[in-house]
Amino acid sequence: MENAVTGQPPGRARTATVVAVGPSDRLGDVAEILSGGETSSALHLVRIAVDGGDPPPDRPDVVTIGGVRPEHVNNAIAAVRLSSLPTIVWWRGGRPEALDGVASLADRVVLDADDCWPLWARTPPLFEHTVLTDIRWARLTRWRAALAHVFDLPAVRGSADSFTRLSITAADPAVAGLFAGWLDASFGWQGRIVPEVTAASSGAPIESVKLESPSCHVELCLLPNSTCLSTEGRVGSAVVANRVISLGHQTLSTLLAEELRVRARDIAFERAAQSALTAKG
Amino acid sequence: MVPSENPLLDNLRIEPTPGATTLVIFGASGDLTRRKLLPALYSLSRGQRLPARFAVVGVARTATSDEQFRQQFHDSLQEFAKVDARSDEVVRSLQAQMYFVAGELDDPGLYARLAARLKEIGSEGVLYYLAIPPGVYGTVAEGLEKAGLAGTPEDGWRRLIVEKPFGTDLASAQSLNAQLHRHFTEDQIFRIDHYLGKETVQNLLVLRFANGMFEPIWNRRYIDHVQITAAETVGVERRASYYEGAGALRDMVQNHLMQLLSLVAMEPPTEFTASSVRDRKMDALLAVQPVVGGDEPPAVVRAQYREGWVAGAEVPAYRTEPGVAPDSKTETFVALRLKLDSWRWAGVPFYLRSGKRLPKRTTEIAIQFHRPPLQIFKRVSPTPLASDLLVINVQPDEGISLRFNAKIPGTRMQVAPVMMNFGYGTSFQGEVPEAYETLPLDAMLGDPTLFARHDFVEASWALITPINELWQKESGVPPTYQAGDWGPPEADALIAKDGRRWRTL
Repeated sequence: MENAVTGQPPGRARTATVVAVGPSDRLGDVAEILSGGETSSALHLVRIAVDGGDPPPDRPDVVTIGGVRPEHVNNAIAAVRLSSLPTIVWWRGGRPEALDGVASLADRVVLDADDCWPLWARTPPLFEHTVLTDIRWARLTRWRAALAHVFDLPAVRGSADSFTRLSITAADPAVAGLFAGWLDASFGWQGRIVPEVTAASSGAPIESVKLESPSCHVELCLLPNSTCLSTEGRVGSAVVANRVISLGHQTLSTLLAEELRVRARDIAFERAAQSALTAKG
Repeated sequence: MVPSENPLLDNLRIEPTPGATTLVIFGASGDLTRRKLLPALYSLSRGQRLPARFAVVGVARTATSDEQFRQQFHDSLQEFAKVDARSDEVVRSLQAQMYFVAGELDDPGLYARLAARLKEIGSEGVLYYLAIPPGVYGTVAEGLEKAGLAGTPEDGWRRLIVEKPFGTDLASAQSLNAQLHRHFTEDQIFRIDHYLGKETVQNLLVLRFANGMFEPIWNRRYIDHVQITAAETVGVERRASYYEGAGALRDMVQNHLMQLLSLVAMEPPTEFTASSVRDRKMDALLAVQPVVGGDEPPAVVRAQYREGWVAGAEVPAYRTEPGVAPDSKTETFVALRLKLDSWRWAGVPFYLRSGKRLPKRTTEIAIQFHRPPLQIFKRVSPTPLASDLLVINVQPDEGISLRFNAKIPGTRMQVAPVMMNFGYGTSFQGEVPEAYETLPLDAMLGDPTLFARHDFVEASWALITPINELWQKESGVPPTYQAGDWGPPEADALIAKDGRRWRTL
């Protein structure tokens, strides 16, 4: 910067307001999580507790609002957002119905609740007002890219219509559902292939994905160190792709940092979530 | 029938990766490969930016086995990259796809062996990276063509990255272009200028053309002058043999500073495509008036550093550096004023300066605006008004600052300049990619936007060569400046003649 000296620069250009909404016990680590993703320095941070309790203390620059009735969350957000910058809501829990009001006010909503299904069920009309995704989607970024890169190879792409079987091993059924939903929507299967989901023994949100046809086999598999992913593509007996890629850091901080970078509508997520809901029935 | 589109790429958050690619590095045992290219490959791999099928073939004179090359990759990462233990598997996976072909660059057998290896690997695309002296670019290009490795195959591509310096004057740049064009078409050739891979340089396009507020004032009506500075604290280091034949003018101004100037001065492109952006940059460069041969004496100053102090350490004079001739006339500092003959920039001087052993390492573009036409606070404010200033900091702290005047709180009307700062490091999360990551990836993807086109390189040499020729004719020694100063007094005089002064950075 202008006549910069080592250490903190004289000023920071803020990039967004991030409002964490949820029960008080899920708001204690907001600043820490955002700092871990190297984001907090340029963010205006707000916590809104929706359970009547008080969140544990946080950094002094974090604005905390407690005792908000769930139906008035949007009202609280309206009071604290910065007018010239995007408002990003990090939804850590609360009444699903309150999401509608929040979505009309926020430029971006990142869902991060334990039970995602009732939230996803409310999302289709909200997609028109705000950019909305689930933190689980960020867990799948590198898995999706790894699979997409294998399909960059013409030999594998040529087999896309002939797949008959999809097996997923995952500890989080919603993550498995989202991945299967993404494939269903992308390939236009329309439910033709029903994923076989097995619980992951490692406890990893997703552990392996296998896509098979009589002539082609594509497999993604978490390596024992849980930080890398092996990808293999076989057409007939020939191995056409075989490599190990890094999964990056899969901490909440990193996943959230990725979500905060996304500001444009994520059609792939929207379709994947809808497919997952349809498959769940 | 293979679908032409990959449906899984829609809305993928990780940007596009090239199809199956093999990177062939000529000069694989060299410093650039060890320090920059191999670590960049690791970073790209960690960021999942490399294709599912990716291989590297190292080429050099020294007999090296595949295994030794893989070890070299590992050693290079240990020394120059931030490798964490979590990524060991990634490193091993990349190593498994690394090969080496040894031989003399003028030996047809080398290219035959390379062709056999490439056939074995079987990639759609091959990117040749010439990390070798420009003197052998032609030899390599010819060798590749004769082995059938230059032409674009029906189901793939062949591209060539060449490093700077691209020529030493206009004639040699033209000759180099001609040599390459005999074997590769222009759209296969990617001339790297690592300044163009810097985030702030790319952001200059966004600042100018994605905002409505800057473009209307980006002209002679509002801008007084532009200063472009590229300052280094280091001396000639281990590059004396190259630098003695180059100097600051050819090492920095001809390529990096001219690129920056063209990005500041260009007209808006009609779309963000390589040809549109590069056409407009070329127009800007063509508007620059020759420095030598006009009515006025050339507005250019050169100088060489004497011994002095930089960042608290005593440093030797240029002429006593290892590898430098004791009577060297090579300039380590250059300052010049350029005028652009265009509707937008008529009467707005562009001052460029670059040097070694200056007090601070920084590269910036400073756009200084005119003062207000009426000084209404002159009587009430004892403090003089500073001009508004927009500073685009290219390195090391990439960002943009805007200086304007504000009232100092209090009962008196006092005006003081304030700065608004935007820094990439603080405003956006994540690491800023290195130029050596961005640019080879762009070449693999076939996007030449951030590479120098042949006509730009030649036009730039056409401006610079006469200055150098003028200096060659001059007898006597160039002026000197003390290491740790901002150049010689002659540089101050150059700008002072116009009633302005250099920014103290």
